[in-house]
Amino acid sequence: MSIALGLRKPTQGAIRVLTLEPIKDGAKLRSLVSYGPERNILPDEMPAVDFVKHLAEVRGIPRKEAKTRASDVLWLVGLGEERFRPIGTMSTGQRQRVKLAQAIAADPQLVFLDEPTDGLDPLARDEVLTLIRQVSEEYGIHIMISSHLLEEVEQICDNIVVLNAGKLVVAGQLNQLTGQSTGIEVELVPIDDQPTAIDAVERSLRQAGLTVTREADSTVLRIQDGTSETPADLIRDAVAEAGARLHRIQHRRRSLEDIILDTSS
Amino acid sequence: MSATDNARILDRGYRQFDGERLGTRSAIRSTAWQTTRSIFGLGRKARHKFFPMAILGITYLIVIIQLAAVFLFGNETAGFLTTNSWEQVAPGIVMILFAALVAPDAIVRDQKNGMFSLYMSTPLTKPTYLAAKSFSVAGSILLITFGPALLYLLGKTIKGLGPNGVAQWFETFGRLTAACVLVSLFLCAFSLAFSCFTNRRAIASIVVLLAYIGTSVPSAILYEETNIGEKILLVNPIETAYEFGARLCNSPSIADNYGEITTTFITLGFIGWLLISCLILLVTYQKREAI
Repeated sequence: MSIALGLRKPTQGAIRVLTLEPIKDGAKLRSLVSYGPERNILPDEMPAVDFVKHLAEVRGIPRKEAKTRASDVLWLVGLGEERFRPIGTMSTGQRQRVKLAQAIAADPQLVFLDEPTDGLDPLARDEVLTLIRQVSEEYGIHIMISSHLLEEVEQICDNIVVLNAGKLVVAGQLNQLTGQSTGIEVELVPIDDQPTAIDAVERSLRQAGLTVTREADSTVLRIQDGTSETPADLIRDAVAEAGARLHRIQHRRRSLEDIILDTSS
Repeated sequence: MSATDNARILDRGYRQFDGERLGTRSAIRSTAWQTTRSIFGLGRKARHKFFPMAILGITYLIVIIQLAAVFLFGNETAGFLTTNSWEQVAPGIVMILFAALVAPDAIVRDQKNGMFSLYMSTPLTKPTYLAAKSFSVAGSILLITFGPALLYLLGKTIKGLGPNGVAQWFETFGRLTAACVLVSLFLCAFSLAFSCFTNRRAIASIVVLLAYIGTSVPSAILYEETNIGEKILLVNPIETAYEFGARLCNSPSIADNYGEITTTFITLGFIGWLLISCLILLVTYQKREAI
């Protein structure tokens, strides 16, 4: 992030942000982008509205405009009633919202958020992630998140760049990376009267030419794609013939964790 | 007139900003103003206002009492009306204490509360950030260097003890302004330079005072105990700055032994210490990780 903001020179390679070179056009670039730091330490005694207003002014918004925008953006992040409270008296979740508010108050084209859900409970994390998604979709602000929580990345990101020890592991659109189906997963319900029903379904699918994998005593069958054009029909018929009960049937998609592990290995 | 003529939009909601963005100068101005508010504890709890306001209050109270004495008891007490505050020992020490108090407040808190990282993500750079902080600190110090000196000058003028004629008055005023600005800039640079090594405010203030004592005491001892000569006194940065200010105002030397040093050496000593202070500050910040 410090390279993208023009605060550090890259050791090798080149970088362009919003068509600008960060080192050469650092000040110009930083008037178009914003940053939300990872650390949860903010000026404790400053009221949230003063803090947001001040940073909006520093980012080039005229004083009067900064004042109204500070209030508006704090309402947007759900801190309208709390805007005159000193930041030091706020909870971790509220501080994260203040950090987001200061980052978007100056209407940047791009926002860098470093671990935006750090220290939040699951409920507060969901709220902050929803807010980030909303800001991006409704106001057209591009947001770049740095996070080690893969679930939250999958939840809100469109594009990803995975780095490991400073080296690029994988990059691309999340949909394309995770959207490649790796087969079908079938979960069956065990029936006391017919203990061999799941074995019968497995056998039937193998006989139909499908590649089936199943862990011992598991009720889940994993079927590889590519062996048949109509695997769903074959599965339906096999379940019906064996008298088994179907719990779920779905395409298997790779998780971000799968992608990273596959690429790393 | 219909009811809608007086209608106002009270809540506009979040919206895009289409206006022109102000540049780095606006960022410096805003940062300097916010720092000044912080230095004087404005918008903060009462305990943060106490020390800066108390020092300001005492400084101006002394000046007002002196002026009142001159106006009440006549010209016998006119000796109170010096050209510069720092010609008197007590205000000189108060200036150092004030500088040791405000400089750490201006930059050390930013390290501790994460504001430095945030500032570096704005159009500000390390040099412009330091410029903003310097404007604020030097401006605050000016309140106790220039303010009292201006009151003394006005007091002298009203009592008919001051410069003769308009031209001479403006010359004195110009010299006084230049001296106060340069001495304030020096106190600002010196105190910022020695308070940037830590992120604890109290420790930073102590370091600034120790830096002053650590340079003034050895120079005085060496001057008294050896035959090195009076130029060793230039090792004392604060007194060199005060003497430089006095020379600029055509005032008497702050001490007899300084009177033996030529103005050229006093000027070189002042510029040297100013450059050293700025260099320490810039090098320390260049090495500092922004994010």
